[in-house]
Amino acid sequence: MAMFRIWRGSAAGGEFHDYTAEISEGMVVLDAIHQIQALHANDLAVRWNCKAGKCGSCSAEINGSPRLMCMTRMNALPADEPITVEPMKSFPLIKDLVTDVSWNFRVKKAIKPFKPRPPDAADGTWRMAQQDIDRVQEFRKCIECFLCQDVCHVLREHHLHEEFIGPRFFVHAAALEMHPLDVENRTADLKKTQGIGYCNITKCCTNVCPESITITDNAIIPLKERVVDEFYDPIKKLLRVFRPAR
Amino acid sequence: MTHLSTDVLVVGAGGAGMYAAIAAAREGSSVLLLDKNLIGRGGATIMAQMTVAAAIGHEEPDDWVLHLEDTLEAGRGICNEPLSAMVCQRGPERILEMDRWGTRWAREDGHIKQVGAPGHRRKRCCYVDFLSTGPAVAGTLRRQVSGMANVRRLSNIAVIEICVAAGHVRGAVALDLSTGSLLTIAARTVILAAGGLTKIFRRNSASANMGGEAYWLALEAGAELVDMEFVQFFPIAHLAPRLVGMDPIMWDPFRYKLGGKLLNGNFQEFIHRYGGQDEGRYTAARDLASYAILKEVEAGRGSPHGGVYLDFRHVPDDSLREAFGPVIDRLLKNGIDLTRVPIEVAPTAHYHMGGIAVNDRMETRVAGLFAAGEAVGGANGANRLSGNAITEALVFGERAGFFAAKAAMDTDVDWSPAYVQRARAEFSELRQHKEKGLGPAALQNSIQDLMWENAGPFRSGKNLERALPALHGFHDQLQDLAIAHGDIFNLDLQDWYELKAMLRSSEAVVMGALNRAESRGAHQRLDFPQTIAEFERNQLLSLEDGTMTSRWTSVVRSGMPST
Repeated sequence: MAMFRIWRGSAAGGEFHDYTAEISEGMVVLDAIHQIQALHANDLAVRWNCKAGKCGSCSAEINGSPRLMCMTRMNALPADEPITVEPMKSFPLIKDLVTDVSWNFRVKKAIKPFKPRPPDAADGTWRMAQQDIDRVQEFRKCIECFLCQDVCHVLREHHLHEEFIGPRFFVHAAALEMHPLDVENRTADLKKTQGIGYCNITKCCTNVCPESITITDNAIIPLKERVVDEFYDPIKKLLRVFRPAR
Repeated sequence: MTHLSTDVLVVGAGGAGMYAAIAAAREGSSVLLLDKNLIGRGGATIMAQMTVAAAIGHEEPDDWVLHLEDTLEAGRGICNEPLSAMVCQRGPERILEMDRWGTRWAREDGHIKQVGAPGHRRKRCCYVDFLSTGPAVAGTLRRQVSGMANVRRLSNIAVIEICVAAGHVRGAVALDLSTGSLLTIAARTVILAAGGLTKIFRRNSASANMGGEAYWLALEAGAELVDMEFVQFFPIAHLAPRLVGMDPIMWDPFRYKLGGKLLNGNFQEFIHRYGGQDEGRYTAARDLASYAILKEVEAGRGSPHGGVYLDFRHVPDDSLREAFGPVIDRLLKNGIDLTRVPIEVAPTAHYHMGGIAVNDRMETRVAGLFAAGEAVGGANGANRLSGNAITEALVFGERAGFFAAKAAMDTDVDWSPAYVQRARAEFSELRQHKEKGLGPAALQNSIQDLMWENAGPFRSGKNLERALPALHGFHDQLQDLAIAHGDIFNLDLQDWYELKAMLRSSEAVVMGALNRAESRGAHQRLDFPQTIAEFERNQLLSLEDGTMTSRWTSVVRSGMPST
């Protein structure tokens, strides 16, 4: 048996409720939540879909850290104290463990889309080197669970949702910027409207990423460097006119 | 009650639904894209960890006609050939378009890498990297959809009825889970892209969304379903120890690349006792493997969790690593060391070949009602080839979106509150249900058990006949189920409608299976083990005055898909 303290309530307010769940071998937190839902709380709101760490729907805060419920095994949590499960804090609450993450969708729309150079071959295809593709492959793993957005203090504590797009979308911008075929330039947006300067590289996002994307080192810092090159380095800027850096 | 209006309504936002939205929007239609979950997270696409088959000929010379021949052969004579041809012919365009959108298919020497899979004569299966194909496809489409100004996306919306008047679609009624209220939508055309029905079986590889809603909505709207008896059961889905973060269907490539051994609970090989040949490699067909496994379990020789063992202990560690490096690490993280312990596997419901009957414009017999993706029946006949499911999602999605947009141009908006009277009355009644007692989720479990026992991988007339009245009995309980009284994110409401969908879909599977007194592909009758030539036909199901009715029709043979 395990004790659970699950946050119940709506935007108007709420409190923790205590439940117990029968634990079996290999079980994850989402299993326990489903059990509690079936036996004790049929009105417990929770969002989930794939049960396999692929869809990014069941994000929550377990014992205070942002995690996917379907990927958190019970035997990885201390057995002798109650397990707290709360909704994410960076987004408006709908009910219980369900938050309204639609702000993220609006942010994504504002990022300039992939703009490929004209095809290399007559059949409409391109030739690329595997190493160029490998570089951005890591960003591809993002499942958009928004745990990195949840943990980021710029959003979580300072609520700068209007000025800062968050780690998830720096990863997205990096994937596009570093793509060997892409010819768009996103650095001005990153600097001016997307708030990359607010990130003080504490790497909280990297630590919570369930796909182990090295968000800070591989996405945010290179983007910060591009912004610096573009806006603060006149020689590099001049060079870019003749040879766009990709 | 909120009311919305759109040219094209797309129900379901997996691979097919998102592609349909994109295709309709680029024809100039306004599109409303709905999903029970978050947009682009639900459905089966995101779960797919394997490959996408298309004859792009990057790896070796290939032709879509060869792909078609392979698909038809796997379908055991009853594929809707124009639909199969559409998938095979248009698959390459979709793969290359996705490439332009940045899917980043795995490459080698500058070309898209393609691998082989059972049943494909050419290496034509594209993938992204180990276990990421589905999420990458979903991610690409999600990004593409989010960039289109004329696509409106709404999450956590479950469509509960398609409104039809004077033989034409007029829109839909939906449950908005986040407010617990009904939402009405006037639409010129509607595309059902709400996936399959594998959730009606106890053992399934389904995501939360696969309760057969597309079939239920189509039937109630007056459309026909085809070949509903054909459910693909995957013989060696993962059973134990508990895996976290991996698709239970993952063992197939291990099986044919490395040749693990299937052992019963006493650690004995058993396939040969059922006429199969093993010899350390799994050449046994899927249906035979399923049969042998279930028979061993029935005889009390199963593994502790009710399956059999899949054993790789005879395969050297370096061979395992060479073939599946990153996956081996992920398994180790799950505490599974293939060199030391066998895992447990068992058959599971994986995919539905049957589905909504459509013509080569993806339109049902109800004017303005289209279907796409796994919800469509016929393209895969009695058995689907590995790799064809995502291709089908992309191709059917694009075609349905294109034709639904064209049809919308010739259709006037016609909306009347009268169209939603029935749904509103039903919903008000639902809100009066008692709060405590047996709820819809519990009854869903009972359906899953019933279907697994009586209409699962192996069927008999006796069991199927037992299942039908049991399903009707469940149906009679619908009005007495307990429903929590809250409004916001009240999952009981959604579960109740899903339960209705599961009941209708189950009834269709059972009735289809009962009428098909033969064994063919995925449909195996213990009392009729032979494939019978006179059944080389398709079975159509529809609701006539509320009663499920069956008729037979001859297979639609070749003909090129219209453009």
